[in-house]
Amino acid sequence: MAVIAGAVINGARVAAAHEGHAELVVNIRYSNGGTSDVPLGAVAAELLMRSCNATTLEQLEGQGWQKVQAALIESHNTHNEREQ
Amino acid sequence: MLDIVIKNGRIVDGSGMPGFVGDIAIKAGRIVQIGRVDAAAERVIDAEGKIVSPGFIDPHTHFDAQLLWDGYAKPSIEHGVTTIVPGNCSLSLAPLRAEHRMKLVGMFNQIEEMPIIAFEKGVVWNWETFDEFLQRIQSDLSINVAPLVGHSALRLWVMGAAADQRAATAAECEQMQDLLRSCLEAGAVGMSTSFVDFDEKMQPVPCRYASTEELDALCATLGEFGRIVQIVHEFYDTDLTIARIDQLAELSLKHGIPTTLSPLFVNAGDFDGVDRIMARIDHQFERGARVWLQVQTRPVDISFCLEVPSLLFIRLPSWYGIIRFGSREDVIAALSDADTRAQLIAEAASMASVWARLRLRQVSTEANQALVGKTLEEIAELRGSTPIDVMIDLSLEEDLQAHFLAADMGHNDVAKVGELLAHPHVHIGASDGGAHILSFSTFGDTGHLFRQFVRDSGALTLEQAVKKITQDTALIWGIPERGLLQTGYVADITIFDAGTIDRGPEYFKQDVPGDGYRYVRDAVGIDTVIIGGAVSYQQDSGYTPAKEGAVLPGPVQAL
Amino acid sequence: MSSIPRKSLFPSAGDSWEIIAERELGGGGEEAVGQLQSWNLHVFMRPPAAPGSPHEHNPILPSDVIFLEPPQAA
Repeated sequence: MAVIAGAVINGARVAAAHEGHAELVVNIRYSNGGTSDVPLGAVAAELLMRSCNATTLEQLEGQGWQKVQAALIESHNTHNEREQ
Repeated sequence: MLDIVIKNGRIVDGSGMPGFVGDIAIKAGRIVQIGRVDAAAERVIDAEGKIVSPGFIDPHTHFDAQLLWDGYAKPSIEHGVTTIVPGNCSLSLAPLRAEHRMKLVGMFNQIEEMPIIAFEKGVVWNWETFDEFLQRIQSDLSINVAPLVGHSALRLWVMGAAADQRAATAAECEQMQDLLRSCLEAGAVGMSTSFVDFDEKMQPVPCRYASTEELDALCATLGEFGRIVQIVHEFYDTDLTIARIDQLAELSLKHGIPTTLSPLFVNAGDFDGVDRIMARIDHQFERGARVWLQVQTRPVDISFCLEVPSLLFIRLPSWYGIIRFGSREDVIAALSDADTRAQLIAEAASMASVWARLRLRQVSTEANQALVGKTLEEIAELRGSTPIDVMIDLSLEEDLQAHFLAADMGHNDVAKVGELLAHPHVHIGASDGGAHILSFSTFGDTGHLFRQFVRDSGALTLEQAVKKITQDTALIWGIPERGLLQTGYVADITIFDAGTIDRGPEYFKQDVPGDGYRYVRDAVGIDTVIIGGAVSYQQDSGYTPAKEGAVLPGPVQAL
Repeated sequence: MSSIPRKSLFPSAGDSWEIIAERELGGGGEEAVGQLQSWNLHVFMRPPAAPGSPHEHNPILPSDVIFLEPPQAA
């Protein structure tokens, strides 16, 4: 997969999801300076943290958008009965 | 002889005009006089010191299943709601062929958390068409119902197994149009569709496989009746929301229909996004489109128990590591070990204000039942402990099944939400009444509106707030003869105390068929609710046997 | 307050990442597809279609909004 320069994680925060649980909202910054939010559930968030070797949310900053894409895709394949 | 006279109330008639003191006379289900009424009546209701308003209308609900065993749609009426709109988000229980019943049940279970056993115990499946469904519920209605037809249900009926595989052919689109037309003629208020929901197999719901041409064709049919389309959009993203606003605006202008999308949440740190969305809404209204954005009044809560990992702990690496990766036994062992516990408590100090405000929602042991509903700070005081210690202790006492609620964690900026609710192009709704029953209560948003945004913050006047959830809603949705206190209109009336109206605390109640539970809230400050001219609920005596609810707008009369 | 909507389209029948990139971005290829996907992470917020489904190898649904540019800078 090609690396798209400039599309990186700008930050992440915990937020209240519509369904009443906590979610991780990852903010992506594009090379033109525009940003957008991607909400991740518990499994996708954990996969993202792991793939970025991050133990804090701050350590996600600067990671490529592909990590978010991969975490989303992989989360759907991960059966985890303990996810909320 | 009049049926009912409401005496000496402050009449806030739903128009937004200043309230005034007066009487209202009711005869044969309708308002026959407003002002000073001296004529005799079979029943006189003293409303002195109370507000007399049109009954509230809840435009975003999922009571479809509940209406099959509960024609009151409890506890909506006791919160002052006299009309509900079920069938949102592409999901309706009609039209529905017998062979698709379990598919729909699975979708309601997945999306709205309605337990499958509730359908098994509470539903006699004796309908297929929309007309048959309306006849089925109409015989037992206390509340008014303005039902939407679900786009996913239309697809299932026409396309069968292909409904969640592909776009419809031109012939299938025509069949769906014919089917929608028959539903509208039977009394449907409009059609709903979704761009975000998943079915029981975690695949996109059938309507998400529709092409724009299919949606356009169905909106053309809605246009024949001037009826509304509701969508649930990708509410987590500003640009996607704006794209859907533009899509709805084109459908509105092309077919002459009202449209509505829900929900919009105010996300912390993204007020610019909200402002961009509202600027786009304003732009589309300026063009002549009708795109009503629904905003809910209540904040979003987060609930959790330590048996299931919650991202609430992701900023606490030790906690998250144990809860996320440990087995149940590991978690219990960690919380029970004095050294580990001390380390966890030290780490959690950075979120001390969150723990103090946590509320205990649910426990299994009898010993702790009395603590349910209290904050951890309150329990800590009772136990001579600290909130974080209490969270750990209760979790251990309950075998990790102590459930906690972190209230007001999202959509909680009172000033910004209030600004939105008061906006002339914002439609107050999105309650989701009857849905998510195992996660949180969807009841009492109207009480919260008056307490939080009228009484406390003053974002809206009482008259504005009443108008927003009565006349505005009736006009947006094309619900006839409701939403105003006006001579000749149907007598749907809510009497409440402006000084106390609120939503009560959330609690778990066993009232779902199959001995099931759900989260509910009682009402505060609602005195009397009249539907179709009959008293349906009174604060002192509860629900009455009245069954004057109607299907709205009802069957289409031939011109 | 910017009221210019972000450039987007609704997919036509048979549209895939490759076809949209080729048609809308002036050329396909891995880089163009990657760019398109980076602007449309919402499409990945769903499980893959079941084996045998027409969408097994193409997650784009007919009802999707597909952005053709990144979000605008504030």
